[in-house]
Amino acid sequence: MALLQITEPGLPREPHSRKLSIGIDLGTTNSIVAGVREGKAFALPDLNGNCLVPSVVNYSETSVLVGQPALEKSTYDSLNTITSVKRLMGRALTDSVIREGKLPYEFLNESETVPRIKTAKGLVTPTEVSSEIIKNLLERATETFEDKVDGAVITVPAHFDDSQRQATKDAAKLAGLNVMRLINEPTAAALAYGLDSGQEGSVVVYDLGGGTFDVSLLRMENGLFRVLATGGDVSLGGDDFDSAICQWIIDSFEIEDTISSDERRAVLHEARVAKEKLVDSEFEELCFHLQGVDRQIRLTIDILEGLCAPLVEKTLAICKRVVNDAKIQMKDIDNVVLVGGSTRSLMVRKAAESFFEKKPLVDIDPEKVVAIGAAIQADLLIGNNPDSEVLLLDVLPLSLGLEMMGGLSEKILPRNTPIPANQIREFTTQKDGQTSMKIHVVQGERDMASDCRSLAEFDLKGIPPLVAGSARIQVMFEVDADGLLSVSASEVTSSIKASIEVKPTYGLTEQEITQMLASSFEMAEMDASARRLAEARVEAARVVEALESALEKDGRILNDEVAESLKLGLEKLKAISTEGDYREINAGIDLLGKASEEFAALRMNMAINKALAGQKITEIERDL
Amino acid sequence: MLFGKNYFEIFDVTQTYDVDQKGLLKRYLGLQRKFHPDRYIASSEAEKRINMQWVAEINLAFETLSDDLKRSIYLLKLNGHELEENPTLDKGILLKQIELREDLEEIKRDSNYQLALTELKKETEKELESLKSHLKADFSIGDNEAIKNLIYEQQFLTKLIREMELFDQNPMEID
Repeated sequence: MALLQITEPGLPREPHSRKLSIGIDLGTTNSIVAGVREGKAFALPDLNGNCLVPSVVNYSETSVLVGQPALEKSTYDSLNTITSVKRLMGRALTDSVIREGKLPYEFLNESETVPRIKTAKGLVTPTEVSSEIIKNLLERATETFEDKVDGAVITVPAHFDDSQRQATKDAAKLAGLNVMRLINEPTAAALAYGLDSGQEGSVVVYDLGGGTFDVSLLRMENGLFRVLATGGDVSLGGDDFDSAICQWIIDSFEIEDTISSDERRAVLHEARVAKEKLVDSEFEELCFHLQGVDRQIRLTIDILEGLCAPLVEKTLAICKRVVNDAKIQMKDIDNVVLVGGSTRSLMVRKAAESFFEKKPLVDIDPEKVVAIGAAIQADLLIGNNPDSEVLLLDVLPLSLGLEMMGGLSEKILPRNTPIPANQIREFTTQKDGQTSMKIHVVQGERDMASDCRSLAEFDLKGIPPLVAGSARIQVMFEVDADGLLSVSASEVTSSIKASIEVKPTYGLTEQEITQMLASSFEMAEMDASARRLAEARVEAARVVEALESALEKDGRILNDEVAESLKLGLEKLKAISTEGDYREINAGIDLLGKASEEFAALRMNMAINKALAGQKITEIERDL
Repeated sequence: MLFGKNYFEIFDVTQTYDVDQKGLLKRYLGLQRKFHPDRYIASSEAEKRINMQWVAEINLAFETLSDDLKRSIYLLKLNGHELEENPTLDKGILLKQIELREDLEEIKRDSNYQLALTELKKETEKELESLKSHLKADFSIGDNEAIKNLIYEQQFLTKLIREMELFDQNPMEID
């Protein structure tokens, strides 16, 4: 809470205050961490020069392996080797991606919400698996820069819904990483491209990764990257190409009913290898030893393209919608950028080129560009470039709505609304004396709420018993800059305000995360309470510093009484943070935070009033 | 409402239907540059919360003024009038709407729909454009009844175009 930006952007910073930040592209197949050194963003390689970390985690009784060593186990230890965990993030056990995905894992059947996978090390959730990958990337960054990481930007598919975003943020939290912002993968790619080429205008980012597809249309001008519209499919990617090939092989051999989980994994692996080789060759001979029999099959380019064509068509249909949504003509698009490993495929390149009638740009490595964009944004957010003009303006990818009578979903915030966004809707009671109301929040474009994704469901209780139609229930939707939603509801005719805390339907609860943190291996080794105390002290120091500088600058706008009580609060927190335990310090931080709310509001008012007034003055100056 | 300012005042543009879109966008982006939450990463939780609400309000204001239909409804509201839920429409307009809808249904049944659909869409868009000049005129003299009728038409045509786009994107599926 340094309050730096409220003053004037461009304040000189002390050289020693330069902070370390990283960008993470948490991919379905591979993940990458990037950082900035001497103003240049780059992907961090391992000792062998590899930047890509396979997004694979292997659990054994005694250890957790991440990346290449885990991948090597995947064909013979498929039950304990989790691949493509991104597809499971924020999903429920009942989701089709898990039910019909032919996944080689064993799930704990009791849990109706968060899926739990049985491994040699015990039950793990997708969020925990993902956090292992993040920890691995974090380690790589710490070793490369020989310093601790202060903050990170993590990318997510633009089309990730609320629970998938939340799950990603939780995974980072479990890994002990301070996430400054979640940004959308295509937006990150546009940032890296835009800054690299200096080009301006309208750009389409076509991002086909291992498991997800996104397409975003942006305007780039004077450092502003404004997303006009975005679309995608979170279960469409290179994995589906692999699965289609794998299925074709299995069907050709007529072994669908007898193939084992490990064998299916092996076939899938060969399918992927063959697909990648087919970029430079006409056909591939695939050899297998399955169920004691040697088998051989030839995969040609034509067969491959036939298998993938329906998937590519699907991406183009989404592109069409995005162009419509952006209210832009095809001819006004200046550039098309291809991102994601799957755009290495010639077929995909040709399809994008003929659809947009433009030769796509592939100058930056399509696999690294997202992580590089994330690193650039992280470096900005952490405050290393206070003079930068760069700003990302993004949108809500999927409509947010409420279930109405008859099961229809009423869209409260439509897709492609710029974020952050707020919307208030008013409803009333249906029956005389009704004292509670069910509120069901859904996300998606379909008309029926049951066809959309259920985000949260709760009862608003304590409505005063009134005649039907006279209670006024306000439901407020708030989407923050990470694209995360919070919902509150209250009855306004009564003085009683019944607000509620929304429990995510498919996410982990705050309590579960705390428990996981406490029970994680690292925490057991370290003294957990010592770590908490250290964290609380750092936070307290941050709060104290910010409030002191705010008081120094704008304290005069407060009356003496309020100013005095804030100063007193400051001294109290200072005292507590040297003497108290972490609970007392955190309570003190909360208390001071509440006490300074009014001051914060006043300062913000002043800043925006100044800006609104400033506008007019420049106008007048220009007219003169 | 942000500081008791209406949406036009937030962007300091003249309160008229025919709003200066270029100036609006420029001021919107100017405010974003200063106030976007990314500029407040290091602020206190309280400041972040207030900041977010503001920027959300600025976004909503921009969304409203940059969209023809939303802007007309908003301006009508500033005039102290609201649309009715089940309005009685002029017979001539009603007939025209039925005709347009039938045209669209017919096109949808045709497997070779593309050309006819593009044609109908163009026609409808032209209609919407001409509505705008009527709206502008009626807003300037403050004939709220006439404005309402124009907005009902505007609503219909906007929805129809949306439907054409949806069909064109995915002739086989609804979603």
